[in-house]
Amino acid sequence: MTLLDVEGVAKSFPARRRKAVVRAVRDVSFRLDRGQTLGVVGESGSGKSTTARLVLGLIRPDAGRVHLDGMDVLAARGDRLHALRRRMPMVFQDPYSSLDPTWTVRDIVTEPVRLGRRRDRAVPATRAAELLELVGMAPAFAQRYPHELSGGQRQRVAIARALACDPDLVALDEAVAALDVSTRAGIIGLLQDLQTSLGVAYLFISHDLALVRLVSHEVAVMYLGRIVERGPTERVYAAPAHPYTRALISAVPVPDPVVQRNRTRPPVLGEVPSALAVPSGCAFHPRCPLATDICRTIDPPVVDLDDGHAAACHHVALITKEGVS
Amino acid sequence: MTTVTTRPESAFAAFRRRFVRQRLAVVMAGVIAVMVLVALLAPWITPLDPNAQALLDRLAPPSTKHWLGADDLGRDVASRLIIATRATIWAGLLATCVSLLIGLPFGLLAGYLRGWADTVLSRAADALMAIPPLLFAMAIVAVLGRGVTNAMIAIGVVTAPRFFRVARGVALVIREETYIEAARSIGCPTGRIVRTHVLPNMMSPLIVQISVTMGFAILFEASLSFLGLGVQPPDASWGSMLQRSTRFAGDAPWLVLLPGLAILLTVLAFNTVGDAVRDSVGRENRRLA
Repeated sequence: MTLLDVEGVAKSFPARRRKAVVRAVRDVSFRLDRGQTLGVVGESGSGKSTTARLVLGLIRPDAGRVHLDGMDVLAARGDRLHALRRRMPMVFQDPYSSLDPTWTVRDIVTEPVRLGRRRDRAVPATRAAELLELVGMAPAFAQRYPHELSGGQRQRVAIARALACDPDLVALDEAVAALDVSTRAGIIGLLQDLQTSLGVAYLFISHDLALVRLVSHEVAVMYLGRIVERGPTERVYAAPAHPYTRALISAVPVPDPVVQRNRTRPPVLGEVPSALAVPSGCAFHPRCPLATDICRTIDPPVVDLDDGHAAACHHVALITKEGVS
Repeated sequence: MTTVTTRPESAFAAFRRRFVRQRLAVVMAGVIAVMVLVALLAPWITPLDPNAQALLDRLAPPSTKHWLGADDLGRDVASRLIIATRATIWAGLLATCVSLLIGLPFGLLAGYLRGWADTVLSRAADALMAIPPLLFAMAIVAVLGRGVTNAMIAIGVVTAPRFFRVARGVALVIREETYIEAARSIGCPTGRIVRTHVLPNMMSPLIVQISVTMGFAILFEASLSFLGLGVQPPDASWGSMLQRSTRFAGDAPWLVLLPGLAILLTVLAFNTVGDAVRDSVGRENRRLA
């Protein structure tokens, strides 16, 4: 059942220089089912975070539609918008700045509960303890301040706060990127357990391809503000249909040194262009080994391949026939 | 399950530790505490009636009867200094409250909302800053009548841009913090964000500004009373005592010295404590102060 339906969302920001425009997100569409995880991958500046903020109603898009559970997010205003946002809270990358330093953990995790009520009636004292238990923390942490906690503990608090919203969807914006490896494993395990027990969907934003493969049911690959490929995780990783995805996946090191040494990797030329000057036609064409004349002039539409696997490339047929190189 | 380990020093404990290291500030905080206490208890602790004239004691030097001497009308200087403390602290509080109540909300609004609200309010604040406080207070007193209340409300209005600037500047920084976006992402309404997230995070710079403005306002109260536009006779004020005694400075120097020292000490105390608070705020909050 579709929980989140995003269609044709776009957003540009005025650049510091007058007249210039940063095209942060261009024509992004995807769907996310209840209890599923959509991994969004891409280089920094590819529009992953902006996409999340557009979907959550934190930034107003220039175009497009966003529906959560059939309700129009972009048409909502005031209290209705606030109530909608509470159904899809966000967990941020840096747990050192995403918690208000003047609040205790108890107040932080129960804030959504207080917001959801007509009046500020006292939240039952046990609520904070329940929420902390859900993320594997002792109730005694309720009286602590954020600066007294470690990074992993803070991120658990941030997750507890998101769960206090009783959410349908949690957006995780690089939520484990700032944690060290062992802590990261703990948080990922916690997120997966919570998905199983609470049936919450995740919008999992990350630049870590291996991690996305591990947690996501579906992935969307972004390049310069567009989704260039999306589909079921295993299918995309096993048979990437877009040259950019192929390049990304081949850049992930393989544990076996022999295999790693002998792999042939498709070349990606140069650097990511600036979002201030998105190339004509297919935005990837200046770096693409397969680029032809049509790529320079026409932006390829997203073409369905099979079973929800789709890619935006003029040469999809060529790649899929050739197989993974 | 993560276990609770030993608790690190709380933010307040760290603040206290740094503050106490500054000896002068601790002494000055004591001075302020005594001043406030004296102001509260003034009517009950004056040795003699501060307004009672004893012409036989005119310009009497310090003695057992008049601890700090008597003025040109034979009024007890110690009693007058004590009762004047009350007027001084009240005047300072009044001006600071008016200043805070005008400057803070507009500053929060301008800094958090930015855009045209910021432009309009900042221009208004700049315009207000351009008015000389003393002249403005004199003009207000001329229109509304003499008295500390009118004068101090005027001073409060003219000094409001100080709080405006602090509140706006800090709000501009805080609005970019992730915890503000985090609050937005769980559907916290704007007014509530400003009240519960922005305001508590600017307490330390505000306390500094309150302290400094108190000193400033007290100086203006003394100036206005010196000019005869503040506290009205026969009631005592450090400023008016100073003005009256200048004529007898040669015969009775303590008459000039004592109110002058009182003003100096009080203003110095508020400024020193303000600076010390700023220096004692934790590293993470210092950039705001």
